Amino acid sequence: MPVNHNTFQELVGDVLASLAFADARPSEAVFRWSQPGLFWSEIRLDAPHTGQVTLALPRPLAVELADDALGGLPPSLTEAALPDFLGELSNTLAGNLLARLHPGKPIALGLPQTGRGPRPAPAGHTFSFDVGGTSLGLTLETAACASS
Amino acid sequence: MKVLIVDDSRAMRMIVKRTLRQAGYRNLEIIEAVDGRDGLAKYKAERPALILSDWNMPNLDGYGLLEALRAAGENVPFGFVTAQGTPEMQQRARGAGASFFVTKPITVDALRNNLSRFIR
Repeated sequence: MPVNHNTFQELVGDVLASLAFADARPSEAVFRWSQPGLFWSEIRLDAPHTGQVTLALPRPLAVELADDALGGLPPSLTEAALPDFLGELSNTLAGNLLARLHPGKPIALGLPQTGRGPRPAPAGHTFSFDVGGTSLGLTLETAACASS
Repeated sequence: MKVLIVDDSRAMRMIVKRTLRQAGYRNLEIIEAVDGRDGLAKYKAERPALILSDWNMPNLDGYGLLEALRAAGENVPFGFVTAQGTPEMQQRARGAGASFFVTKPITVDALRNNLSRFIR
C-alpha cells in the first residue's frame, strides 16, 4: 500500500501534538542533515513491510519537545532523557504509520537507535516540518513510499 | 496501590507517570522496570496490583512477559501501552490475558477509560 504524503504529514502532526504538545507544520524547506548539533533517531520497520523511519532535529528543539513531553523536568534530567525521548518519538511515529497503512495486520519494529551530530541523509524521502520556526526532518524509507 | 510500569524507554515511563497524575491517579506507588525480564523480577518482588507494559522491548517483550505471568498462574490485571496497536495485536494480547490496550501516544482520556475499573 503506498504512503500518501498528506496522510504521513498529518500523522506526524498528530503524534507530535499528542506526545509533545508541538505544532508541526509541513514545510518546503530542505532539511539540512549536515548541520552541527543535530539529534537523530532511527527505527527499522520489519513488518508488514520493511524500511526505516529517521527523525532529526536541532538540539534546542529536541530539548524543548522533551521538556514539554516529560513535564517540565529539571534541565539535567531532560538532557539525560533526550536520546530516550527521541527514540520513543520515532517508535511512536513508526508504529502509528504501519498501523495506518496496514489496518489489522501485525506490526514488527526494531528498537530505536539514537545519535547526535551531522550525518548523511538517509535513503528515502525526507519530509520537513516547521516547529515554532525550527526545522524538523523525517525520512521515510520504504518500498511502499510513493508520492500522492 | 502499586502499579508496575514496564518500558525500555525511560522517557516513556516518565510520560506514563505524568499522564497517570494528569488523569487524577496521584496516590499510586509506581514501580518501574526496563524490560520484560526486569518486569517479571519486579512483579515477583513487589506484587503490584496492576501492570502497564510496552510491547516492543529487548530481552523479553511485553507479550512474553504477559505469557510468563499467566503461565505462572498470575492473574494480575495487565494492560499494554504501545505504539503497535493493530486490532490483530490487540486480539492476540487479549487472547493471552491482557485486560486492555492503549495505543501511543497515550492520552489522559485513554488511560482513564481503561484504568477506572482497576484503580479506585
